[in-house]
Amino acid sequence: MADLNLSVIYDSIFGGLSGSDDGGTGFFDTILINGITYGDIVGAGIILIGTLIVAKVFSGIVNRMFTGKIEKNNIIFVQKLVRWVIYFIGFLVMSPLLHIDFSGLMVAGGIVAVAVGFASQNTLSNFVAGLLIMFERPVSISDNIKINGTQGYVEDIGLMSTTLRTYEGIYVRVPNETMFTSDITNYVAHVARRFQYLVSIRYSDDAAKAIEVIRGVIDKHPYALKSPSPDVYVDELGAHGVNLVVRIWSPSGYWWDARKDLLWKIFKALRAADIDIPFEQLVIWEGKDTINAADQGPEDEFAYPETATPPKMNRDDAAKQVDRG
Amino acid sequence: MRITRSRTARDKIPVSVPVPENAGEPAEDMPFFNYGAFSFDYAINFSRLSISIEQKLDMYHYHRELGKWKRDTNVSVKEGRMLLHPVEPLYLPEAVTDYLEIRFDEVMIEPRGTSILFLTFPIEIGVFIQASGVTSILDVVSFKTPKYSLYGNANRGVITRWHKSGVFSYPPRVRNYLEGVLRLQIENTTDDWINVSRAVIHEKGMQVYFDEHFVSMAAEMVITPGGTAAVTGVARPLHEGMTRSLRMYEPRRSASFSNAAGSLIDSTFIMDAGLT
Repeated sequence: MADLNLSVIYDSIFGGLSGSDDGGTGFFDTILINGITYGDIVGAGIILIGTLIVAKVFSGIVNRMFTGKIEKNNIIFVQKLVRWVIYFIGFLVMSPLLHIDFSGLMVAGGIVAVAVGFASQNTLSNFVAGLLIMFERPVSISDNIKINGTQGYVEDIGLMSTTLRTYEGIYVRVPNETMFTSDITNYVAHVARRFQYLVSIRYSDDAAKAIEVIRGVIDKHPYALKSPSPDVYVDELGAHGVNLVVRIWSPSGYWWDARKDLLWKIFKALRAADIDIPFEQLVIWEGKDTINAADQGPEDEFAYPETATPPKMNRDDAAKQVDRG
Repeated sequence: MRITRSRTARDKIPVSVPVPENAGEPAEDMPFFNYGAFSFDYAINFSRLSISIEQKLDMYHYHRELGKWKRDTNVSVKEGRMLLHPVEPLYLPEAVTDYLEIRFDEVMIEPRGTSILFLTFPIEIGVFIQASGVTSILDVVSFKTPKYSLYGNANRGVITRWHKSGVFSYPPRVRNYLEGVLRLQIENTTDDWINVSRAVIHEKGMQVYFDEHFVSMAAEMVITPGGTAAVTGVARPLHEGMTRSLRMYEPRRSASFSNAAGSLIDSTFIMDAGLT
């Protein structure tokens, strides 16, 4: 029935050329080979030209649709894919004119299709994930990303997999299905990012002066952004010193350069201002060899009599006392 | 002098502002950098900057020093010339961004009013080499330390080359190797008073001009309702007789720095993340 309908359609379209059923005797009805007439050849040629034109038009549409959205290589791949699908359809349309019978291949083709479907399940899922990634675009080529514990630069985004170059220069291939279903950290998706230092100074140093010095260094650095402005503040009175937190915004592509460069400059500027990093200190009190009159004062430690000396020792002095002891 | 020259859209008569007699004229003791075209044997020793091209056998050797910052390049050319032009200040230390942001003291623009401000902008000096009619950039140097900033937020903003300027109602005296003069025309198309203290200009619209005393650029800002403004660089010299600088503009490939806060329409940048 299907064949009958198809032949009816073909007759309506190409009847004028082939006229095989009504026994025409024109040039186009002249059999060339294996029952194929000149009319069939001309019809096939028209379909071929039409297929090529349609493929070219669709290829251009794909190009316009995806330009700027996905990588150029992938656009070319999708264009080829679309083109070959159209060629295949064109060939199927053309096949009755060339007297090619696919009915024998149908059953075998179905079995093969099922087998191929099972075998290529992962491949297809990677392919579909690849297409979805192209639309969602969580990463771009040259982005600095982290996925499943692997950090590196995106080298290529293919339809089946994405390749990374780790900081050590190692090639890593990540299937697109993994890319699509995993958490991705993209370090450069935003134009700017913040990094921070923890800078300790001695208790004897002036924290306000240290903050001023640090701000001065940051202000001179090109990649330390003016806005959002850097933040420098006393964060903690630590066991060994006063801890300052230094927060700096930088262009995403240059934050590492700034981070590498600034810390040492901050240290040198602090040293130049006679502000130093504290060494770790541990003060041990042994027996009665304690500070001084503090333990002889009244019980209320918040109300020292005028004659008594409150314990003003700082940690450096205490350390010296231990050394002398 | 921090007075804006203001006029309404309906009444184009400029508001009278006191302008010094020598406004726009350089101070006598101010050294000026010579921009222009020079033969290879022309050597520059200006302030801390020295530039020379010496012939060594069949090759020329370009040498530049600015303090500890040096550059040496061998140039294979039979004959040609060197051009020193002020260029868009967006190439040092690297071509990080296409946007120049100028912060200035806040100016209130009257409803439906137009104001012309003169601001300063940083200068980078481009050293070009020209032979057989083809010009190529050889070096870029600057006396100014660059500083970058973020206009908008990290998610949807642009990195800008940041510069702080005074506000002048006439072209200020500036050292032509450090800063240029930007003529910024601000038009307030809204029915409200608008405060403005920054302008973000895309490099595509920047056209730098120079003469023996001045380096200049011009831009127009049209403030629209909603607190947004369209800023466009325009090709307009400060006065007649100025030479148009060679351009270095190339669209940056890095997509990371082009997710603009507003949008870029040709050379017009829409400032939609605040005018102050």
